[in-house]
Amino acid sequence: MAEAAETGSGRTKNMVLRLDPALAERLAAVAEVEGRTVSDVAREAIAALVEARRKDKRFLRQLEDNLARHQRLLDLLREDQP
Amino acid sequence: MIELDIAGLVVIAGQAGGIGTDAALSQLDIASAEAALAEARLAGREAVSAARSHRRGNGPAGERPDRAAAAAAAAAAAALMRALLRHPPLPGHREQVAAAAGLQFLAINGWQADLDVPKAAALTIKGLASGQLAPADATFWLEVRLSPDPAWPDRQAQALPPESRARRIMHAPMAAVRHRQRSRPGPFVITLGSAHGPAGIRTPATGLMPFTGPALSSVILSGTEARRRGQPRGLEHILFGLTGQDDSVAVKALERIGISRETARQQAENTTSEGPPQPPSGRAPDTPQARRTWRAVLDEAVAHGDNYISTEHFLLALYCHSDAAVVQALAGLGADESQVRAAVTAQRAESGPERPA
Repeated sequence: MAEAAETGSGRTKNMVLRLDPALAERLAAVAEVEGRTVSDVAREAIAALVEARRKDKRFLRQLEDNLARHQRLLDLLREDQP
Repeated sequence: MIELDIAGLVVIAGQAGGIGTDAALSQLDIASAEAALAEARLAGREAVSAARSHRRGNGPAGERPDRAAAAAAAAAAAALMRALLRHPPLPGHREQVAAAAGLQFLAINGWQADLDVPKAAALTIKGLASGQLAPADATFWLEVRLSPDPAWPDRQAQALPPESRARRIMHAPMAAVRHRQRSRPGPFVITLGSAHGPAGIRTPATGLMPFTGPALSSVILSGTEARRRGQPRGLEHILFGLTGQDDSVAVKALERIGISRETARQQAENTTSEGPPQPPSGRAPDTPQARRTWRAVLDEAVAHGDNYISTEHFLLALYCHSDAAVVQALAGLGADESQVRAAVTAQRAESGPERPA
């Protein structure tokens, strides 16, 4: 595992990502070349994965079924939220 | 076992939090999400291994492989929920996201969770969040509620040759029913004690959860009262039984709210009716509500992290039937569910657990 750290100020925040060393290197290289932060690049990569997952019909159907079947539980947890 | 990835987590968080996937992605705390998934992978593998070795060493003789698989799935789901509660990936939706992710993890691995008492499920999640409930306790609680997803055999049928697939489709509904029946968590046994063991509730996952002395007296009294009135045992008889002792946690919790034992007993009297007298021997059958209450009693015990069944578990379990006359009568006296829960918590802290039977 490697750590890619960045320090921010103002509206950004400090964060530490625990990444596979090869992935961390690739992310850092992309960030360097494109002049962006590592977290921006990471978020974009996750967005691409999320987009693919949103097309996974089986996953979505299972999720919808689950949320519908356990709506009362989720409502209870929402109500008790501070 | 199929693990959740960060993209799946974002989709789940967006839906469970009611904010949509895009908002979930923009609010995602990537470091927390990664930490939670890494911790869940590690803790899940350890928990699965522990569940399997426990089953090999101490599991019930002749236990079916599907129950061992359920134990492993429950252990991994509990580990995932615990990790997401410790490292919330989405601010403000911690418990919802953890619960939804745990359920989705089970679904993608072919399991359905039957959480028929949502309040107890919510207590379990909160117990995990606060650390009052260990993942192993949550695993026991969850395991007995898992059944294989009936759609799972259908998915396997997709890979079969056309002729076989047609046969599978024709027989799929019955196969699914049989599969579900085979994999039910096994008998839920209530025992009032014998030379072979103490009184309590036994399930394959929890083993025997013994009654405390006052709880056993309550159970016996509720059955006696139901038989005397010529009725199946219902919620009013359970309340009647609970008010039979003046030193129980349930009675003392009600007294904290200003409801005396006599008043509670009177409410039980008022909500019941007389039927033809029945012989004083034999066991009174339970009404459907009472049968569901037994499950809720076990839920309450596990959610409180207890390895015994006590009177307060019975009292709280009554509230899974919020529309029942006896529950409405208690609420009318000021004992609504939240007040009773608070009173039980205070009473347990003050007096400690009830004595064993």
